[in-house]
Amino acid sequence: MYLRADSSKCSGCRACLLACSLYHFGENNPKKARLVITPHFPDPGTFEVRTCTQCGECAEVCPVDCILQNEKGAYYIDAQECIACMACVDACPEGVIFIHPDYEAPFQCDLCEECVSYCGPGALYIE
Amino acid sequence: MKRVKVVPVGMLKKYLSETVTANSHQTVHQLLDGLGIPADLVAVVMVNGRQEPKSYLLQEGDQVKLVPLVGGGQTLVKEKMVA
Amino acid sequence: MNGYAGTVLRVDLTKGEITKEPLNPELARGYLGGRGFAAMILYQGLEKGTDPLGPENKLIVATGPLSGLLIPGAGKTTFAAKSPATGGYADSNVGGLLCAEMKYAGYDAFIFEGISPQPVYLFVDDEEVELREASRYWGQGSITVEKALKEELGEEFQIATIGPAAERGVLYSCVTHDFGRQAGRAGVGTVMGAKRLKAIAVRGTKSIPVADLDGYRRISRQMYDACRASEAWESWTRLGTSGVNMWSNEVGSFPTRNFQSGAFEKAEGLNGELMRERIVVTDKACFGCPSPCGKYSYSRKHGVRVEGPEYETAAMLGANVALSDIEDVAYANYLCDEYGLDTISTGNAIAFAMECFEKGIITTEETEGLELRFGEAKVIFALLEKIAKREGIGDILAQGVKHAAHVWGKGSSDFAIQVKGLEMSGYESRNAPAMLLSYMTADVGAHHNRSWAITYDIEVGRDKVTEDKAAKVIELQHIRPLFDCLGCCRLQWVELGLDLGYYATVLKAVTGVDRSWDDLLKISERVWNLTRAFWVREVEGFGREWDYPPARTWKEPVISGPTKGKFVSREDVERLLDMYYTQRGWDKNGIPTREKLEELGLSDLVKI
Repeated sequence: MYLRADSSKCSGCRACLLACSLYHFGENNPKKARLVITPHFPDPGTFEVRTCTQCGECAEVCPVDCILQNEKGAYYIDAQECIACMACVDACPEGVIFIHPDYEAPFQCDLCEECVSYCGPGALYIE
Repeated sequence: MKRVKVVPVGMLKKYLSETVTANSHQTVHQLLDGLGIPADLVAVVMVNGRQEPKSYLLQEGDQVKLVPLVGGGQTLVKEKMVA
Repeated sequence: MNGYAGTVLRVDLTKGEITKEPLNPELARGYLGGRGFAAMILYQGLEKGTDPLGPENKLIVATGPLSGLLIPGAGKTTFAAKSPATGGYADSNVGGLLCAEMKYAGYDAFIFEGISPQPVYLFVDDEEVELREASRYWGQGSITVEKALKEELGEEFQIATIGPAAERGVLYSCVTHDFGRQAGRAGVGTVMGAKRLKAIAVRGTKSIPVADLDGYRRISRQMYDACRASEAWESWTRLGTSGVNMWSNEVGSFPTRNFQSGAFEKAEGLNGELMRERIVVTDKACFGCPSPCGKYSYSRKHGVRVEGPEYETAAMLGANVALSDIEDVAYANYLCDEYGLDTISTGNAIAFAMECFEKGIITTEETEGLELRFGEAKVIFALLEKIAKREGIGDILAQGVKHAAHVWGKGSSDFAIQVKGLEMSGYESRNAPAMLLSYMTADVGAHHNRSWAITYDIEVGRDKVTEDKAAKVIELQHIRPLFDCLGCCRLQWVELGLDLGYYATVLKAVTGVDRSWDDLLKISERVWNLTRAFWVREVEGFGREWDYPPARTWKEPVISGPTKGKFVSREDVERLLDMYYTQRGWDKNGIPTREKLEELGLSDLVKI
């Protein structure tokens, strides 16, 4: 199971980011989201959506082996064990392991699908 | 007779309460006249996902959506409907 | 305070000082946010007779309690000031992401006062706030500066800028944000320029608190689902506002050649579907919007990228100047965006000059040799640049059509298409009395966003001048601006039919304050009367005659198209105003009565 994005359909509204932070943290805060939209304006005028591909590189580099897989197969960081070394953040090829000043441990997509259900144009989908 | 599907949207349901089938080989204008829908209240005619002018000649199998402008008229409030 | 960030930033540009003030809970309770905040702060904070371009004027940038939340289209930011174009109240709102970012940074509003000694921009990164030197950006275009600031500060910063037109004092300069969205009307950008504030850059990492998280999330879900399920979603998302270009032309409301007609014989070239297929690159949404109406386009012909042209621009820089190639309109749109000009007033100014030229009121002597013929793209681009640079004839037009008519005389004021000094937006209304009344009484001048009643005219009979039309205009003048208080978009209601009941319900969940939809409408009415009181205080002799439309309305019937021969008589104009004033509880001169002010809780504040 994967969260995929068709960037050509993204209109940059960020509802996905807010839905994500509300679902996981109960907060209105797109800076606490687990996917990223990068606008490319004014030229060429497109949005780029990046989501976790579940490649597992984060787990490989974790020095304390605290990145595990949940029942959906999504990698997640066990915040209790995490030493906040940020090796996974640096290693992530998609740049989708996130940090926020409110938390010591980074966080990443757990395939909850909440973002998909808020995406008006259907740019996000589960495969 | 060749057929097209006609879907009324929003306040146009006052004139056409539900989706109907109609004859092809007439223009959208003629279709609206036949259904008794004032053409000026139809802002956008979508045929198979594209906007077409009211002079468009309907083809067999067309899916026609009639979209009104609701901005001026519809101000109903159904406050109880959401929990 | 739930639904709010809780802090207002007051920026004294003269001294270079920034202070953080707690948001006044009474202000939030009585005026909600956005336009409501702006109206109150301007009424209370400005001395009578303030020079709009002087240091005493205030530029307000305000969010609302729904801004930045998971509500469809919660990305509307209000810019407001005393207008240099009209001398009265002005607010203009812009979509995009700015208000959301302001609230994440912890601020409900920015209040700019004074005039900076040198060009600056406001930098806001959560608690870190400062005025930074912006001389290197002065003179540069809006889009250019936005791009440069994002490169300098980071993509996450949300930017609002002015262009060279505002720096030079063109009276209808706009504020641009998110590469092509504008707070366009009544010169809010001009005020920003006069303050030497080139830009605002904001980033925030905080959360917005809500009272009832579960209730809010539940209603939010219903609102998104309802938008997505709307049968109008497909056409609205495909075409945006350009979907109605052809309809407007068919019903004779597409302003053509300076509002001489409401039907443009070459409108087919401005057809929304054609635009979609020929130039649209990307659908571009405001914050949290599931039905993006923004269309980001690339004109191969002119080699420019631009957001739009949306309906108003297609009307005012298309049919109204007789341009029929959507790529030419896109280029004119691009020029306006980069110079920082309002496309509506600019299209009006160009069309007015062209009609004056056509009628021999001005000649090549006044135009520095330009043959001002309708439909001539090169001439239109050239005149637009003259306006932006205030060169020659452009300097006269830069002050609006009311001023230009005053300068050129010879009866031209009859067809200077404005109310209260603000150029009319894109609906020819001589066969739409409710729409005409909407323009006459809009509280910033002739703008459509307060009440848009033309479909009501069509539905109940276009020739009728009846009490229900005045009632409809008043109803819309309370509903539509309410969205500008809440800090979110009205188009999910207008275009997708999203039920209005959701807004009262979700606002209660967000703020924890129990208010019915009627309570909210009462607040909107309070704001409406307050902005009216602002006009009364600021404009010497303000009253009924300020609500008159241009004399063309009764003197000259529509010259062609489906409404050919139609006009609204002088008597009907007076009847419309009589009905409207009576229903509003205003006197015969259009001044709010003491009883009305008392009913709205304004009698202590407003002394008129």
